[in-house]
Amino acid sequence: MWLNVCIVMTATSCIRDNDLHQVVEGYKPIYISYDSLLHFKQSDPRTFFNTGKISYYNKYLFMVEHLQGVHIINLSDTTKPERISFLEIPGVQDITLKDQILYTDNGPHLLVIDITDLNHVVLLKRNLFVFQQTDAKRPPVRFGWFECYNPNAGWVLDWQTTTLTDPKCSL
Amino acid sequence: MKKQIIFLMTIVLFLSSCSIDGGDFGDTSYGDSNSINGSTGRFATYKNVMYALDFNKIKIFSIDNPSDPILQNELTINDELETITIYQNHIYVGARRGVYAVDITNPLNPIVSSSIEHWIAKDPVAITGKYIYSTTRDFNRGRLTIYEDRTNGNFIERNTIAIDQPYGIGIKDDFLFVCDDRNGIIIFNITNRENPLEVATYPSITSPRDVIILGDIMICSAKNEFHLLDIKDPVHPKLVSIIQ
Repeated sequence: MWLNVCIVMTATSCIRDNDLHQVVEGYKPIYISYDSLLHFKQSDPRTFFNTGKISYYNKYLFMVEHLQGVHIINLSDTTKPERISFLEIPGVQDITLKDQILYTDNGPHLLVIDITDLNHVVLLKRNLFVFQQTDAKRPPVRFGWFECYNPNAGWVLDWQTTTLTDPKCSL
Repeated sequence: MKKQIIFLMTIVLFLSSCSIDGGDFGDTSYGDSNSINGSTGRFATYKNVMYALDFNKIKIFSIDNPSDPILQNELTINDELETITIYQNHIYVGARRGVYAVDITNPLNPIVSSSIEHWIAKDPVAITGKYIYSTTRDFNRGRLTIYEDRTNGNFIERNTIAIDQPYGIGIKDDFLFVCDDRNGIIIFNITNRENPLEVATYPSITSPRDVIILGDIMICSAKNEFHLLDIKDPVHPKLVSIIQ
């Protein structure tokens, strides 16, 4: 028996089955609803998983947990840095601070957070839909097929590999 | 009468010296009230303005009232903007196809003052004087490039050094620190700004991503840990603490 669908390894080696469908390996978005994106909470410290972007402010280190939130670490004693809390902010990628205010993205929104009392930070404002975040609407790869972003489905929180049939979008 | 004139002159002198102090305060306040950010971020503040890179735009928010940022302006650059670093009165933007120097003398109305194109890659930058150090990586290639910024024109490429998979970058005086995913933190002597000399590697950190240098202390973030290093002797960094 002939296989109608072949599993292919790369987008460039894609083939068509007997019904002339293109079946390829690619990426699909994992959505978060716009309501869930508005979640904000200060919670207990967490372990690092996929961190990297950092800001130092007034003896504290703020470290972005990619798309999940922000770790706050007390560096007053450099020999004993201490995690003090985690801010749950879906879709966060970047931070900067000035005058006791933490500015961060939250998907397409901009958050304004008062950090005067680091044990009880206060979300002061959310500027809705100020960022296009075009790069969030496509997978973080240089080449390949992907399922096109559908703004009605929510905001893209991540991408996962999958098998796609007749994808319309590619990089 | 003479006394009154002298008194008035004294007041005038006093007032004029106050206004000069006010201007200085605006400049010095930069380091005091703003966070010090790593080289891979896309947000930064300068004076009463917040800059945010959003794909092909620099979005410019007024934060005269810090709790109420107001989008005032946008600067479009035909590229994919990835990193922002403020040095003196310029923003240096690392992008997919090039590096751009943006004059922010008028913070709400930035102007691109010089730039250079490079191969397609991501690129955090660090600046000292007129020299710009930029790391780029793509697939299995990576490199450190040194540009000289001739304001109002193009950067001039001065040198290139191969590095496996470079990420963030930082400068302390005559030393340059480069995060390399495969090898740790690579340390260069840049006394000769155009010819960095590799002098040491700090291999103990796995997949370093970015650095912040605070005097003799360097904060190194990695994928799932961070290290604090004493870099009083930059060639022999000493571990102060780790959080994993």
